[in-house]
Amino acid sequence: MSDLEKHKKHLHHMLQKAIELEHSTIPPYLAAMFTIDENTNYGAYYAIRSVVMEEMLHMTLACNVMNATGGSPAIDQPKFVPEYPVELDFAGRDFDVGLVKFSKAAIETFLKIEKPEDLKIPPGPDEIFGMIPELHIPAMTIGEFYQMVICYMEQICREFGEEALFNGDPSLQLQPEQFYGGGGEVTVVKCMETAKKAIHTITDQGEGTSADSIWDGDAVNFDQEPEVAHYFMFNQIREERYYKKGDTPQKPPSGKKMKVNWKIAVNMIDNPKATHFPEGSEARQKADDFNNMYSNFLHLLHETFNGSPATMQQSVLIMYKLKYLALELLNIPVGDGKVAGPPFEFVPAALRTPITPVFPPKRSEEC
Amino acid sequence: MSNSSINELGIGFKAMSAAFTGFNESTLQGTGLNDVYLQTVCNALNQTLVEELIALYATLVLENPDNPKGLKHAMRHQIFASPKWAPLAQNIIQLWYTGTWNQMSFDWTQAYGPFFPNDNTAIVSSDSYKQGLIWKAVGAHPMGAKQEGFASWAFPPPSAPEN
Repeated sequence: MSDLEKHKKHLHHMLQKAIELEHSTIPPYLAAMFTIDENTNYGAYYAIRSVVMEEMLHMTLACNVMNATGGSPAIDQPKFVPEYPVELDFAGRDFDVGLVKFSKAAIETFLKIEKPEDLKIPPGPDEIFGMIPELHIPAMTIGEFYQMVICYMEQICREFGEEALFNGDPSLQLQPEQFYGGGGEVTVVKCMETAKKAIHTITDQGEGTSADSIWDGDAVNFDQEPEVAHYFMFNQIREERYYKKGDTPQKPPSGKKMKVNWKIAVNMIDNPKATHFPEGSEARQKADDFNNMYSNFLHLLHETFNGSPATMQQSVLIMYKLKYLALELLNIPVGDGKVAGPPFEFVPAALRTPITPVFPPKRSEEC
Repeated sequence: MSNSSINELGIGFKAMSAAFTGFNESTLQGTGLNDVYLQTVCNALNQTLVEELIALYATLVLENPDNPKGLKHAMRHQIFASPKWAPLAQNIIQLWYTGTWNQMSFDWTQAYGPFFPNDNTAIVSSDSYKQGLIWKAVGAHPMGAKQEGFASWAFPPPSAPEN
């Protein structure tokens, strides 16, 4: 293996981790969002929703960077899906992340996930789940990790030339028109400049444009309405108050009050798993359905980022189906006044039932 | 009605509704509306009638152990051919499929009421509209809710409902 190949292998390893990390935040955010009772906590619901949508964009952007540099995202594989609760192990700090209902504790955990590099704010209490698997990130924060990725890519460019690094097949790139919803935009990655743009979208939306800004850069980068970055989005919920123009990261938000009722949430069990529910029970049946749908979905996403970007459209339809299945699970009591919830577990391809409708749809040639 | 009696009756109502609608119990439970619908029927008519129907269904189940064909046959004859039970059973099916309670006919009310002051045609709630089984049955979504994503209309609906 040449030096270039070795470096690229290492880079792809980092990007794979980035993709896994982006994905791993989505189920916990969704668990909190889905357990917000209908017609309550609107502010919190839409804050979490906007973050979730952008995490999906971030995963997409990381996949575009991976493909542009000749790597291939591995999504349909057991290791891709964390077993919740999972320990996020950053350099110098670690904490547990689980699938738990909307609560103060859940928001505290989300704040830790999205913590900006330079923010000196004492961390909230930890949720402890005991001995659990871990996801290791060799940096202090997500932003710092991406900074390392950029530095590494620049180093490879300097040593071997930009063309040697960005030799991926351009037809693998997901195009902006194939992705919709949420702030920001898909960047087609073909060089160092576009790779940096893609990664800066991720870090700006996650942590803010700079150490003294709470804003996410969508206004500057994409001419869109500015939003606060993810950390501050969650902080608004914690502080029950919106940020306003002129607010800074070091101070709590000073805008309008956000109505948050911490007492109302669907009482989902912590970290639901299909096997927690007895064979043949209603909860088990729906949990199995959910896991089957989720794993089929991961397969579609894998196809999307490995040669068939147009498959994204079908993946999105399955996301909607997953949501409704999750909400069905939240209607199924499992004792102790609690209800079931979406487990987000991986089902190996051999054990999956195909989902309908069958993709892709057949279209006549004449059309 | 006390909470515990609704809970117990709810289990029977769900099992019976599964047999009536053709959707399994976990899907009915997943709508979150089983107890709401039970309450709807009890309010519109009375609890005794509902209990009698559930008891009749339970008897048919006991008489046809491990015999789905026999149970179907018995239901057809003793529930869906009965002047008393057929209209009520059909109404319960419509309730699950459309989220709407339909007023019982004048003749039926005369015969088995004779007076149900709360029996009015009404959509049970905004949620009952969204959770109607009809949407699952035809592979569509309730207009204005449970959106399926951009261009989902480009795909044919699934050929059969999920169960």
